[in-house]
Amino acid sequence: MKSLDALFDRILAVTAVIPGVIIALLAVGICAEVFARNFDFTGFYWMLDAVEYGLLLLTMVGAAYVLSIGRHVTVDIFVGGFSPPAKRRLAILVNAISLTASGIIVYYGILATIQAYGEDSTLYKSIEIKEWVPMAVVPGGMTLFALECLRQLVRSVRSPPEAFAASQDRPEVF
Amino acid sequence: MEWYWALLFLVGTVMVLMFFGVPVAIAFFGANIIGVLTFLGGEAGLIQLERNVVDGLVRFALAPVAMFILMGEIMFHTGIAFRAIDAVDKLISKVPGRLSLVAVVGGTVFSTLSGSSMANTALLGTTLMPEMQRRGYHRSMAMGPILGTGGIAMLIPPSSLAVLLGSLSGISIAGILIAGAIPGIIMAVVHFTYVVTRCTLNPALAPAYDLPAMTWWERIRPFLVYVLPLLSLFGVVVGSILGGIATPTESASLGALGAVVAAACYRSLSWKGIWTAMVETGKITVMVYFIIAASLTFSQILSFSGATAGLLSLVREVDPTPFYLLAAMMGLILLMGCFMDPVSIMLITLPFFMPMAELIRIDLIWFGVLILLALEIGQTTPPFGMLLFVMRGVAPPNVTMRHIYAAVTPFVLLEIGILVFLVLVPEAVTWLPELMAKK
Repeated sequence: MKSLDALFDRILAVTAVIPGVIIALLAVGICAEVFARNFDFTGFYWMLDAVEYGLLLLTMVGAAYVLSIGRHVTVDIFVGGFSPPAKRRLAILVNAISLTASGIIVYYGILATIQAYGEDSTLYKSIEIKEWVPMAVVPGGMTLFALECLRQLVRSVRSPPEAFAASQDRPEVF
Repeated sequence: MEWYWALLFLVGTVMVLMFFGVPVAIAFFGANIIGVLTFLGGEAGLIQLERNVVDGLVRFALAPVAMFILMGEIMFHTGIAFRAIDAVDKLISKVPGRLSLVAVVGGTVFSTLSGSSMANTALLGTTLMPEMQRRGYHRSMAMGPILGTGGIAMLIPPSSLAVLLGSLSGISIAGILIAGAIPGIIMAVVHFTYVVTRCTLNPALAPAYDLPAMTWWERIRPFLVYVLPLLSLFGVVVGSILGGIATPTESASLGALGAVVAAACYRSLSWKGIWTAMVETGKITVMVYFIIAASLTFSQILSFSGATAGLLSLVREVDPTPFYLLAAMMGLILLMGCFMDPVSIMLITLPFFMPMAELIRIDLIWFGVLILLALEIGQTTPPFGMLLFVMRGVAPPNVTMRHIYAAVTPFVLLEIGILVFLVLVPEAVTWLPELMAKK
């Protein structure tokens, strides 16, 4: 179990840097496209599509890591004044809700991807791409997210009620 | 189901989940799943939800949010932002509330270089708060101006929140970016005037102290070297839009590249700085985009359930004057701002507010700037404005939340005054975009 936990940590450590790298590449790519266009060179016509798909990819890849370090936006009005045992109970509820919601998205995401694959539909933009490819990114990323929810659920269930910390977040890797 | 029950059910589900501490994005996804099962016919709707996640994120117009954040993070992590604040510090000589004015002027300068109010507050809090405390500044005069400049950062381009508002509402992004400049300058002038007036009437708020003797050239040189060239980045971002060289999305990328070039010119560029800026940008961007991923389905369900149409027909029936309707909308944003972050507020309110604004035929760019300002005020309103917690993070340990609430209150009132002024004098917002459109 511990080795699985460590493996998952290593996966998240990789996903921690991917969004930033994608954003940097997109920034360079967009600038190249602007310069090229203004000098009548049309070699980067596909950049717009690359940026759009890049935004989808970076969001889905990075969501689980951001959850693991507690950086997703939450409204903690009630939680602040709760006792540790009450915080623990609430954390179990919140993690269970998050796991259920992300699990449903993973399941129907897989169905939608299979459906798109079966239809063999193509997205005709500057880059021709099979519809199932961007669709597969969502269940892929949400699977990592659901696993992180599961891990946090297990942690909050196992945590002794009186010692439950307000934050169960992992230290930031970078 | 009657439209008002549908409205209460959907918005209520999101709010209840949020207040129980569920991450905002998951609160929206959860409400979407329940909404889809209730209004969109189960499995087919859930498959559509998946397609909407893809459609919601595959949007070129969202790219500047990441690029403006990257621009600010590069400035921050390569250290050139700190040098710029230091240069402003040297420029301002012996005036009442000197360091508070450094916060206002430095914050305004950094607003032209960064699209993030959180970056502004963190930067100014880190650099100026220790010195203010050492000089015996009253807490209200130390923290208030720093928190107040958050609003300036969101109005003066580049502004990541303005881009997000434009891409979610369909209002011209270039229009909102340009239109925010004059209100931002008005706000800076009002804050400046307030600080000088208060510190003149009550010098104990900001005790005067002797500055090291410096020649005129020693004062002005750091500004010419470390601030003036950086302002060319503002020119790159805004000028490339106005000159038709680049779209708002592309101009944001040019700004990020410009920040790297500026850091290189100042010999501040390091792999560590760039790497940290990239990774931090990634975290913030994922946080924002993940919430947006749920937005398309939420507004579709609101529309399909009849909630949007029902509310609009009620507005038609009541037929309020545009002023009252506008006041109600701004009041609601300010109220929600006490408890929620700007992105969540936008996602909940825009599906209703935009049709209402179109119904009463008001200028959408003006409307967009008003929303932006109200959202920004919301970030500093007690008890849970996000910038208040950023300040808590960078302030000395003896500062309590109550001190921060007391410090920010005059600035919140000033900003509400500016909001009312912009409602009464729309030309302050619309003049510049109209001038640009004529050219």
